[in-house]
Amino acid sequence: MSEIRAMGDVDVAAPKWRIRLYQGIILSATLGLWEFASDRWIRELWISRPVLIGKQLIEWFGNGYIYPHIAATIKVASIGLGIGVVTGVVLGVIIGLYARLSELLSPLISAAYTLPRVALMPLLLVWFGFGATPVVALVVLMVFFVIFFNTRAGVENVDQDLVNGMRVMGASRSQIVKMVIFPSIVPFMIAAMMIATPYALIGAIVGEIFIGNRGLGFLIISSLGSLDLTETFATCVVVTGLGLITSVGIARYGPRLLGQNEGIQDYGVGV
Amino acid sequence: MRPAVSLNIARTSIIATIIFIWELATRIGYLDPLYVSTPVKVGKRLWEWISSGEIVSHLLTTLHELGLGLLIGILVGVFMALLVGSNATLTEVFRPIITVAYSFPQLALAPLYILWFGVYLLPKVILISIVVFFLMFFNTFEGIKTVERELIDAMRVLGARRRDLFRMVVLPATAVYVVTGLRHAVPFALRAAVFAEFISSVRGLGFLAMVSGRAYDSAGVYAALICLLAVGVVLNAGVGALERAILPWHRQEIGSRFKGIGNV
Repeated sequence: MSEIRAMGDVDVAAPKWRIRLYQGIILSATLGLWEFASDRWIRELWISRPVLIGKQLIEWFGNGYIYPHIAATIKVASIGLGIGVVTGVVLGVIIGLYARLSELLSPLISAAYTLPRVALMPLLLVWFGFGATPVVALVVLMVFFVIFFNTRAGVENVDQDLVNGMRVMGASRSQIVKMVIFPSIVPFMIAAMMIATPYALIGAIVGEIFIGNRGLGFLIISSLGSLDLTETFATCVVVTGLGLITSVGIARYGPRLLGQNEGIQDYGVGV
Repeated sequence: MRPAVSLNIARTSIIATIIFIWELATRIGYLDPLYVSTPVKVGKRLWEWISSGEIVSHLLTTLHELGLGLLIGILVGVFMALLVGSNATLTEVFRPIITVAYSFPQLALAPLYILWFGVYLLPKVILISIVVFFLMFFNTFEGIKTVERELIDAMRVLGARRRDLFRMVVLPATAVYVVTGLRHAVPFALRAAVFAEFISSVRGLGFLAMVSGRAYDSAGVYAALICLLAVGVVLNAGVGALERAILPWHRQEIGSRFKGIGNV
């Protein structure tokens, strides 16, 4: 790529040190402007200031206050992810195996898929009350469709020659599922889980904001409630860190699980 | 013709059966109407909202937020992507910054925007535009990267100027990605609008659902969800129609070959 770029005479990136320099300038200018504006242009109450946020973070990680909240969010996200993966795979395999059923139900599934999962939160509130359960339910709903659609695509992409070959040799349906279908949908499932993991994290945080009583999302909403924006921004930094670890980790190690060289592209992560 | 008709009859009867069982189960007492309501109650509530005209102001509020947010987000996102993507140095400078910004779930900032900008239109528009901005930016950016070097080189050999290159090579190649971005942006925008309305609002479909939920009025929640579903279906159909109009060669069935992004 770089050689090709170099051959064209206009579109060549500046050397690495200059790019780093520009990035440093942008970052320090933003933080500097924020620090300067605080209590000069805008009251500190509304925007806090970077130095205070840094201090808050050091304090939180020093005295361990933040760890239970991080753990709570990760726990909710992973329980929801687990349940979502199991239900998504089971239903995806069933729908994928029966083409007529798939055809019959797909407009209904697409319609259900149109409704934002977040919109179901008031319903989850009515069903499960406050606390961790409705948040787990939200994570399950967020993860389910990603897993379901990918599994179904995997089943539909199974090599039909293999299935026919098995059939000729007299295999039963359950043997075909066990020996051909499951092995061949594994890459689809891994890909689906790579996409679903950040969704699980988002679901956990968004759910905690709305109906949680602990975790990072709860920290955001409760600190805003007490107008302590330093805490809010510090929590946002922690959330960003968690999101970065997840997405960078997936981009780096996920493809290896799949035996591919290129990273899986997904642009639904942060939004 | 015949198989399609029977398929639709089968689909309708499935829905009818579900509604019938739902009603029956609540009548007999297997399901508590407090939690699941009943189809009759939901229908009555919907009719009440429609006949009294109450739904109109909520619907318009949500559509207003969506329209403004989408417009700003799309324009700024596509423009910034074209600006950053057409320059290699800018691309390299902004790459890590955007990765970091993108790792943060934007919805989590909804409460902050409401604190800053009040409970009315502005915080929702800001949230929606930011969500849409990122999706449009990323997709357009990807599109620019896929433009074939050889095409550009050939154009330049033929004496094309930068503007010609942009209009004749970059824009058509990017259009597919812009439309893909749009298809993702619309449901995400709806989600952002609903979430912001949940946090704090005085009107809107999300507000209706939230208020009903808080009052344990499950019929109201279901009725509001049905309205939201209708909005989502109509918006998706709109984007589909737009896609067919702009990119007639680019056909892709939503959901059937699902790889990657979703409306969460």
